[in-house]
Amino acid sequence: MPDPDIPTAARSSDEIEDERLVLRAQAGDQEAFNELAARHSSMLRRILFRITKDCEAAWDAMQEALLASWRNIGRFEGRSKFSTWLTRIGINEAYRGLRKGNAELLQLDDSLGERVPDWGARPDEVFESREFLTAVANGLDGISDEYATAVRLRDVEGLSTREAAEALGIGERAFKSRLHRGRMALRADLDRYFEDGYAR
Amino acid sequence: MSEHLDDELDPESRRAVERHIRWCPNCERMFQNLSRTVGGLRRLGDMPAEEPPTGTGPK
Repeated sequence: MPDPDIPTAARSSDEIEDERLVLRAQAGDQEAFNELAARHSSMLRRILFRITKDCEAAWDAMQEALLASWRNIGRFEGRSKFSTWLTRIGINEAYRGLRKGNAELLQLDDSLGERVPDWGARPDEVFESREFLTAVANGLDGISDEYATAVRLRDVEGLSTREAAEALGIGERAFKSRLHRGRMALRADLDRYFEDGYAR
Repeated sequence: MSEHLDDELDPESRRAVERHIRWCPNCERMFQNLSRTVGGLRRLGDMPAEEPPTGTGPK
């Protein structure tokens, strides 16, 4: 796995640790992959934020990159450092997101511009009212079935992430990404509810 | 942010999110609003299931 042209002594202890974790991940050890992801997520997040200039887009690209790298870890041949390979995947995901103009982000951009509305100034009673809960339920009916199902299982039904992912037959990472997107889509819908002066 | 809300982040990532939220007002509002959204969803789950409207049973 390590590049035979580079003597072991020339590699840093971090690189050697990465190589060890990559071998375990390639053998199907998800814990090892999670450790790899944790070791490089801060670096990747900074890079993706620089490209997208948007926290959510950077976050989405990172989730997609981690998912893609886990799925393709078997193809990683060790010709570059793992961090370089992961970064390349992340950058591709970030540019893919920018190119296709992810519908959800466009929706956010169109309705909110750069500024996220401040709901926090409202009293707690607003968020406990039947009217707000009705808006939440209506919003849930309006987002894509794939996202709504993830949100319903986790937040309304109270399943754990693992239970909900198993129920959908997908991995926890994919489930978390779906859940977050669903919550964000619903949040954007509720932004419009508040902007409309609760008139629904 | 979702993983932070679900308390599923490792301590280092959790601190990173909290640090970021402290210096980024936009993300602070995003987090607050997302938290309110999830709170609403959980309350929906706590509510008893609604009875079906009368007169709409199987014919």
